[in-house]
Amino acid sequence: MPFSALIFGGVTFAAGLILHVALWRVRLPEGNHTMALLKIFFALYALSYVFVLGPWVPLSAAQVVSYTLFYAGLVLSYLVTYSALEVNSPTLEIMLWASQRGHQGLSMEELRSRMTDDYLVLERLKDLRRDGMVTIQENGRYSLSKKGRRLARLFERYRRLLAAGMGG
Amino acid sequence: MTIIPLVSALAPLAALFANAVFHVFFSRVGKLRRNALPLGAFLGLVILACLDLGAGGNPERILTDGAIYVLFSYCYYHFNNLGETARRVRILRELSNAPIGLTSAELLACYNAGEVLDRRLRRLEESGQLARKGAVYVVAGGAFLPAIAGAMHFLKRLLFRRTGRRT
Repeated sequence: MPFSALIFGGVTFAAGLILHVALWRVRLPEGNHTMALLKIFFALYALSYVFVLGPWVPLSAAQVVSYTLFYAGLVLSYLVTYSALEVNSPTLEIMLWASQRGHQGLSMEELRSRMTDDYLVLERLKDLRRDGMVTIQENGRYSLSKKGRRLARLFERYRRLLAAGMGG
Repeated sequence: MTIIPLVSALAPLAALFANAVFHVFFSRVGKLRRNALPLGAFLGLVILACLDLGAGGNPERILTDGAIYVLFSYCYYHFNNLGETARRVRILRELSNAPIGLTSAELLACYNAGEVLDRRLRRLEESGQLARKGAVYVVAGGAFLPAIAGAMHFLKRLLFRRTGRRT
């Protein structure tokens, strides 16, 4: 079947999206949303082989690779977009507020009153604690867990490779 | 005979690797630094076209590989963006540079709302999305970024029934 990877990848992904939105509207999952999404999308990928591709549409090895890569690309692209939905993006908020204001514009005082240390930095520190990246010591100091240190090192090396600064 | 289409199906991954290598290379070259990411993506696409045309140039293969390459390049763009703009990554790096850890006050002394806001306003002004008119900021770069912000706002309401999950 021509374009089988694109057609089956698109249909399986669309089915996953519908299921995900329906489940989320009934009840948000406890804990890690990314893991819950991965389970949904992986389950549908496995089911697509068992009930559709295996018995009805035999694919060549190259088509299986393309189908898998296309589907993985769609799922990963959605996951990175979803991670931007989970927390508020200051850049997009600035643009949304400014566009709502039109010609009247957005003053620096208003921006500073909305974008506080608590909202922009300390909430993210709480996220890191909840995700097990950061621990708090008895003396009230925050430090990295093993998991957090690994992630920090990954970005430090990558940013050094790009000869880039601290970011943020 | 059968191994050629199988290897050809992996061409988007080879192109993605080339994209990352070109991105790193151009990031270290002063004049091209600002455009390193799109340049890397474009050259990765050129590599993909060469690989697919070299393997016979079948339209189905070209379209499928092109779509896979675009999706993975989008993920790579986000990974790069995380290092550039993510507040959580920046906090991790600040803590990584502090052997005895940091209190929240010490953390805010090196990274705070003022810096987060200044960096974003500077980036938005440099990219022409936002302009300063006297004492206020107004949208200057057309409707693209406000439309993305509106779409994200809609998706948050659809999924979480409010405009943010964590904050």
